[in-house]
Amino acid sequence: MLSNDMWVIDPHIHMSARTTYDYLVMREFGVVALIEPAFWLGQPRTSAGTFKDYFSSLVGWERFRAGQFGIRHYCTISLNPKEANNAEIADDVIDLLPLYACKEGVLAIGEVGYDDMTEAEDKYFRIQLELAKELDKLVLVHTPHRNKKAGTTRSMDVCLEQGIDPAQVIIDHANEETVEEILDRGFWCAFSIYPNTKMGNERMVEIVRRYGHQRIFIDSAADWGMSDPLAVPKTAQLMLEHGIPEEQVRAVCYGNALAAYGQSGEFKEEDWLNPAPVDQRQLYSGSSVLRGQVPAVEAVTDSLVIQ
Amino acid sequence: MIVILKSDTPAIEVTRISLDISRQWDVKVEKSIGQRTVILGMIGDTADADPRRIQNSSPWIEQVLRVRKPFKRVSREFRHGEASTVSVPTPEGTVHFGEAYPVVIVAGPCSVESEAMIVETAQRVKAAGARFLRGGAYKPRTSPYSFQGHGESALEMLDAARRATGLGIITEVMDTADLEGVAAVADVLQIGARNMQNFSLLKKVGAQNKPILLKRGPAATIDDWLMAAEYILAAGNPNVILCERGLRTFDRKYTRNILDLSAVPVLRSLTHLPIMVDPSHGTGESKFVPVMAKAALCAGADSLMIEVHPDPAKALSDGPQCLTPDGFDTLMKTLNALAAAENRGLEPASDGTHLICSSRLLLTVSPSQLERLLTSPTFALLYEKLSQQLSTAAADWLERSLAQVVSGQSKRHLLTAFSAASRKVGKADLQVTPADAQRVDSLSPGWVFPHWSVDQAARTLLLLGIPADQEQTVQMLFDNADVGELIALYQSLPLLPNSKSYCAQAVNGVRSSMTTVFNAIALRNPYPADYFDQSAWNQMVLKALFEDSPLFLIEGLDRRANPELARMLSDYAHERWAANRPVSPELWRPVGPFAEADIVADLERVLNQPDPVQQQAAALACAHSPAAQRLLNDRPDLRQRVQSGQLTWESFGESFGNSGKEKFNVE
Repeated sequence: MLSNDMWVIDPHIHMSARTTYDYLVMREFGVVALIEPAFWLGQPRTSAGTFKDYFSSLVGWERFRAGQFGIRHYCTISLNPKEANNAEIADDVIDLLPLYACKEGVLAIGEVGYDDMTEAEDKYFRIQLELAKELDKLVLVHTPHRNKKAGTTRSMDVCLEQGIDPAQVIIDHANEETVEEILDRGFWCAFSIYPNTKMGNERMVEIVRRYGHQRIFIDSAADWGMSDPLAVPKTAQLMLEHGIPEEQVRAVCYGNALAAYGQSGEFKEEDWLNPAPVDQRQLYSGSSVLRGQVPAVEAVTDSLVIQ
Repeated sequence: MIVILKSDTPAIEVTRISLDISRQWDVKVEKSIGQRTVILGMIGDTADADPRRIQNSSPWIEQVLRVRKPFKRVSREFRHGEASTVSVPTPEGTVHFGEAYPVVIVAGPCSVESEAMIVETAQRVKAAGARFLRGGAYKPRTSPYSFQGHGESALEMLDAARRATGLGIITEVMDTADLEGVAAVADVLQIGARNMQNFSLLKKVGAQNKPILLKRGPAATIDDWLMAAEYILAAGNPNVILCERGLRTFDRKYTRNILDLSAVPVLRSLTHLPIMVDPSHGTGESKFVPVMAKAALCAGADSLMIEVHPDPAKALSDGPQCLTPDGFDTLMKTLNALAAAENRGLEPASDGTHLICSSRLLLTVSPSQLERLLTSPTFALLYEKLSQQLSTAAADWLERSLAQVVSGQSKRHLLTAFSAASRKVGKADLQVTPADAQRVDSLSPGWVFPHWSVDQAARTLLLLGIPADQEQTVQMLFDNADVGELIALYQSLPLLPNSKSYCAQAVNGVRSSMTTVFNAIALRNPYPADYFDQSAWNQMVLKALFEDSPLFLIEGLDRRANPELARMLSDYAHERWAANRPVSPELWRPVGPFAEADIVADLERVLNQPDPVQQQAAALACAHSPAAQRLLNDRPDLRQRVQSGQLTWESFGESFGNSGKEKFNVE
């Protein structure tokens, strides 16, 4: 059903919640790089130490795991909006952030923003924006699922109040109701193709038709919920089938995410096209795949025999 | 008035408090971030501002103080006692002027006379250790009939000297009309003594970005001088260096001016700005310059400005106070020794090959720490390799980071420098020659690094620089490490002081599912063989087979072979055979010496397998086994190849398929 001759980037996916099989299939369908924003784990954490281990896994184990399948793994680091409400541990987590924010492959501070739009969320959102400024980091903003329109507006207001350049901010989980304002105010506008709760990809086709492809890109936001790690390649295919010009599809599914996060200086096409020799030895087994050999996934899907 | 915030004040609070104060008292608030605290300076009319009300406006405010001096921004109180640093980018890296940094030497002629002359002088003073070249293009002279400087054309000559040597340029700007032209060439703009109170010029240079060297007027009080500096800061330029250059007094018989060295400690107590001393103008006599230069250094000057001319007798201006290049060489040697004794160090020329001996490391390093580093041949070797390979900017970054780590002043700096290493120095493979490999072998047998990259080497240097009383930070580095950092940490273990204390960490590291992290411990690393107990060692060898890692790259594999491991490996081979999975031929290497009964039967089985690779492995194992040697009687061809040394475990490991030469960077 899907052609896999187009490279895509999934700039928002929580791989910690996904299986190794997903990596195999994603690579098969053209995902060459992905970004894993720090988020919550489906239930509240009870100590700052578990955040530390989570952050360590984002810069350690997950990066290694992805590299085995020829996918370059990057991440963003933050105290997420939901858990900003946990006063017991929030400050300790904030103290951890500088230890991780400057590590290799950490592209931004995020996801930050609002969930319930509480005072505590506001406080830690601003503190993290200050940190982003101090460390010269991009910002990934999670817009709330409830009261989205107001939350999106307020998120952008706060970014500007804190003196952040909108070109350095990605506003994620956009929809038909918020896209216009995000683009008008000069922010990057990301859409999460996620069944039922966020964007559907037929709607996405219409968005690109209507708003073009400047500063717009898509992600799967796939996590432990009912989500789809192939959302980006599937949407790319759907757009092509609906007659969106190929160069626009490439921009929305690859080029724009690269341009937005590339501002960090940490996210370059060269990372997967021509990785440093030491990366090839230690981190990234992607070159053989990129040279056009057949990925191992077919053997896994086509055979009943497990050896 | 200044508002001192508590050390852990969140950034958002800082912003909020600044806004509140500025609105409520109608003042401008300037934020300065020190190492320990954030200080908000209130600029404007603060006569009505009530310190107690401000104090009570936020729990994050530590203290509110009135600055009683007429000068505000330049006063030391304004930064709550902390010194400021003026950092100047030059073609050969950033040079820092300030109390916390080594003494910076500025040298050159009074005025620029010709291109050949200025370039030659620049080369000589650079070789002796200067980081900046001085030289006047526009000269303020007492008499309108004296040489007035070559003006604009001299700027081009200075630029040529800058390009030829990489030295930073300090030259005087006399007139606001020349500002743009001078700033295009100069790295630091000098306001000469005679212009110290030219307030329109001060405002102009305050409104541009280049750092300013403000010389003291020949009859200026310290307060006059600091108020002049205040003009520059008030106009927006915080980068001012003060230069004492002698005062006009009643006695000019033996010296041109009276060099006021007491100004150095006085300024230190009054202002946070860096302090320079110019003994050449201060005395006006070349024969007095060296001794006053030494005295200035001991008085605590952050920088010295010394006039040097290739032929002082023919100088167009100030000849009598210029040193010859040879005289300057001699002075620099004395100053170097003196700076070391003062625990200060001179800012060295950034000549990569001499970094290891550079006095920059003397900065705040105790003699024993220094000795530890300098006598460490591995440190020296890695430093040398990196110095040869890194760009100037990367080498400069590494040098500065090392100096800070060695000084032990900031744990945070170590953590961030360690993370940033790959970004700052890149990830190229470390270029190692066969001669280096030999040197390593004599330095630290078993330690191998031909497969290292430059970021790994840089991280190892940072680790080696950690002061002895801060070893616990290594644990912090492990706890927060990313993949690349883990690899560098584990590969550095054999080189660290108290190496043995990391054994539990390394044993735990072997459990990692990140193959590359596992390999960093298990392969080409003498650490496990030296420190692991038998059970940990055996698990590691077995895991290497599970991970398809080549055993011939495990250091001490033969030395640490044992009967228990032989049994475990044999069991593992049987398990693989049962599952119809291939068995690595290298498995038999640690088995051979302990082969008995059942295991001899295993070897016989392998020797009779159709795959020649398996046969060769079995033959090698049999050759090392007292009990199984007889099996080779039936295979004289293989026995002969083993006996002649044609077939060894090393050559075998390298040649058989699974090691992937490229993957493991095997030369």
